Amino acid sequence: MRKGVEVQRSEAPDLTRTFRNLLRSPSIPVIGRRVLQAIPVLWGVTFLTFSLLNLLPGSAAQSLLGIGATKTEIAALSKRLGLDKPFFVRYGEWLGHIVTGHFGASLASGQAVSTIIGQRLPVTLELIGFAFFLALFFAIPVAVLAARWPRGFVDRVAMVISMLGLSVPAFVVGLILILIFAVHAGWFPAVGFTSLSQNVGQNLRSMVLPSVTLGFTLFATYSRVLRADILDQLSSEDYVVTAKAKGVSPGRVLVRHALRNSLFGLLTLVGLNLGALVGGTVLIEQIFALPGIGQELIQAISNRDIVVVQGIVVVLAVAVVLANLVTDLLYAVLDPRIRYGRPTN
Amino acid sequence: MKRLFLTRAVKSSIGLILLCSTVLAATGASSSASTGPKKGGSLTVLEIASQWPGLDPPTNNQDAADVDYENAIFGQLFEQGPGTTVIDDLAQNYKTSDGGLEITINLRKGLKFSDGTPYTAADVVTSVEQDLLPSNGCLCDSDFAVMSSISANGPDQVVLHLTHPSATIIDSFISEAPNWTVDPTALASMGEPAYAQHPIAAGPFEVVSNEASATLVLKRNPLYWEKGHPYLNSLTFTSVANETSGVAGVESGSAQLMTGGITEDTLKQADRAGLLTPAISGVLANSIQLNDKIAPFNNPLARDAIYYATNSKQIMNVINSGVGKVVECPCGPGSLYYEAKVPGYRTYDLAKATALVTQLGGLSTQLMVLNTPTGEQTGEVIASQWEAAGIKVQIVPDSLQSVINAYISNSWTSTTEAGGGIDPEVGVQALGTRDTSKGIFSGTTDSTVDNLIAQSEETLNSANRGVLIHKIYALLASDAYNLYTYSAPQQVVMTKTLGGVLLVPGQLGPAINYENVYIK
Repeated sequence: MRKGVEVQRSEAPDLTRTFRNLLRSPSIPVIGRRVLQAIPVLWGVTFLTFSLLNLLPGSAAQSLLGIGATKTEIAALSKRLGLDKPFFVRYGEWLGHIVTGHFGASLASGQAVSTIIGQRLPVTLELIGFAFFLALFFAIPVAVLAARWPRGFVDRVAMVISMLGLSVPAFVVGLILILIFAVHAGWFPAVGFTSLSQNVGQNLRSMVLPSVTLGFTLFATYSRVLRADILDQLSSEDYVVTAKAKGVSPGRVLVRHALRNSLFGLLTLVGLNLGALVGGTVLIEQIFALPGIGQELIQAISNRDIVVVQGIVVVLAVAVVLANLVTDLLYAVLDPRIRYGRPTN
Repeated sequence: MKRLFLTRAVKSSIGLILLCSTVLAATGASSSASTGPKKGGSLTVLEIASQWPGLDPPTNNQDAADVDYENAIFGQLFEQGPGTTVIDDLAQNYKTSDGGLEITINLRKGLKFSDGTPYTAADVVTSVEQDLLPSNGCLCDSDFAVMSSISANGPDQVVLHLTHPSATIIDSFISEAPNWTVDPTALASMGEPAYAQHPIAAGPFEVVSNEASATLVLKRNPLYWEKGHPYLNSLTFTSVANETSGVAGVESGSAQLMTGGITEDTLKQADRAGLLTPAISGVLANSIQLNDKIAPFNNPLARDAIYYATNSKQIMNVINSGVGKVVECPCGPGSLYYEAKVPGYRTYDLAKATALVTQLGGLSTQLMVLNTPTGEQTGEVIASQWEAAGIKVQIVPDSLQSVINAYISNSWTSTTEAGGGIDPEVGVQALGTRDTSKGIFSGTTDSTVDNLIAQSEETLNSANRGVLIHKIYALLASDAYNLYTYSAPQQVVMTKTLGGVLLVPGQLGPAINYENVYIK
């Protein structure tokens, strides 16, 4: 047996075979199905966004021309912009431009929407990334420890912190953090943003308080859900009893067996959270004066800058659909039954 | 035993935080020694709820709101001095001739844009002509209606040709697009959309980066005409959504100055935190404008009912903690021709308001307010007062741009305003030409008011002009055209580390000439 293993290890890697195996993998049809399902979702988002924004009162041509524009000038510009065309014609043309990557120009500033999104999206992505990282970095060990010793010290402290995270609104958490860590301690800036390209250290400092604020609620949810799931696995699953009967240590049962299976629920939650998190960033960006996509979206809505709103909504919708696709693929990584196309019960 | 441990831990943490706070406070206090102007350093300014979609003066139709950015980047032909004075800047002086029908502005010699190209009279002419194109919709259009043409006389002289003498034309430059000259070479090479985001001009600072309505980073312009100025190496403007975050930002040192619509509660909070809150007398009058071109306020009785139903003192108490002055004219105590008591002005009388509403068989209106925290709170206070008199009110909060659009389309019945100016004839919602029946921002259609405004503008003698302006105030009061509530001092919040911060009255808030500001 040992000899056989050694023989296998000594074989040179066959890339062609690996690639062929990858193509034959049952994950590929899963990805294909998810991509196909994403198309009508994205189409629905674009149609709804376009329809709702076109229902808003006010003329885009008038917004562009500003004060003093005559009716003739407004009519001429409306014609030039194609605003006088029927709704479905305009929608078709807009969709055609979106598909080819042309989002149009802001009515308020004249800037290309793709430039605006390019400036603002990285800030929001960084915020979301940090918030997820912090939430998971703390939630997983806390949940494991809480499940290892239910009703113990860690469990009780984690329960109190989680309840705070779930019951205190993010803007209150943000302001308290600013008061303690920016105003009194002076460790982090209260407002403003330094980009990664300007200064990495300052960028991280400017991101700490907003990410902690955004990640606090996530931590609260994840740690409680994961703890409950691990306890459920430990108390009711046959494989846990088998592992224990084989003499596997409790810590190994917890981490190698129960946690791995519980990550399924956590992954689902993370995927579902992403859409809501985009909404959460709007508030956080306002409190900490971060130049992210949420702040831009609020300003564009208040200015009736429909071209910018449409562009941002489409990009966010694509991001959420892609994130859910990645979540689905991660299921396959975690669960061999999905990877090999077997029923999951 | 466990409880005892937790209590000690909590006490220790509180003790540690208090100790840290004391040490930090002591460190901060010892570093505030004052010296003269110093070169260098960076200043971050927080602007509350500010938006600057574009900074190209001709296409930026909210110039009065963006005055800090535009002044810093473009410099100014004429500058607002202390009090109600106007001082020269890029323009060295001006002379009136031909019986007041011609004004010659002499530019400083050797002026240059920050890209090194010369700043000439022809550039000023082109820039002003662009500003006044009807399609660009400059707020300044009506203030410059008296100017029939503008021409260059050599490289350093700009000549304004007027249709009649004007007492206000030079004041009209302040905080308006014609005060800021566009670099034609940069505009041509960059194109308008790019130039609007990254303008190149002849001001004390030049643009490093701009994320519209979020962060504007500027650095010293080495070619600025005034030797030794600006003192600062860099100047950053950041928009903050609310005052609470803003004060925390200044208190923590993330920024050194906060400006915008600052309420009294925030100023008290800043005082408690040991920050400075310099103030100047208000030139703005908060007002409620009624559109008498359409129903219901084309009926004088409806306007009377609004006057009697509005308790200005209570609005001031709620919105600004009672700080300020209740006013009856379009400007605050810091303005020329301020009048504390205007003859015929109707003051709060709920019984009269209720009786008038009954006589009218009911009264309902939409009240358009800015969608800022202060704007919306003001709307709620006013609505509650009007509803007490039986008036039905629908509050419509909206952005500045949308409010401007509503004026253009005349689709408003009543609005709250915070406008005015040093000169009551120059400024938004004061008494300028824009506020005659021909002006977009006026809801008033009265030829007598129009004629008096025109006469006052043509009257160069200040005392005689004052007589006419007081007549206009009385006429506005007697016909209940516009209701004025209160005027608050104009203030900023800043750290003790700043020097050279001289507040000058502005149309929408105090302005600061950042070229004179330095870090102590």
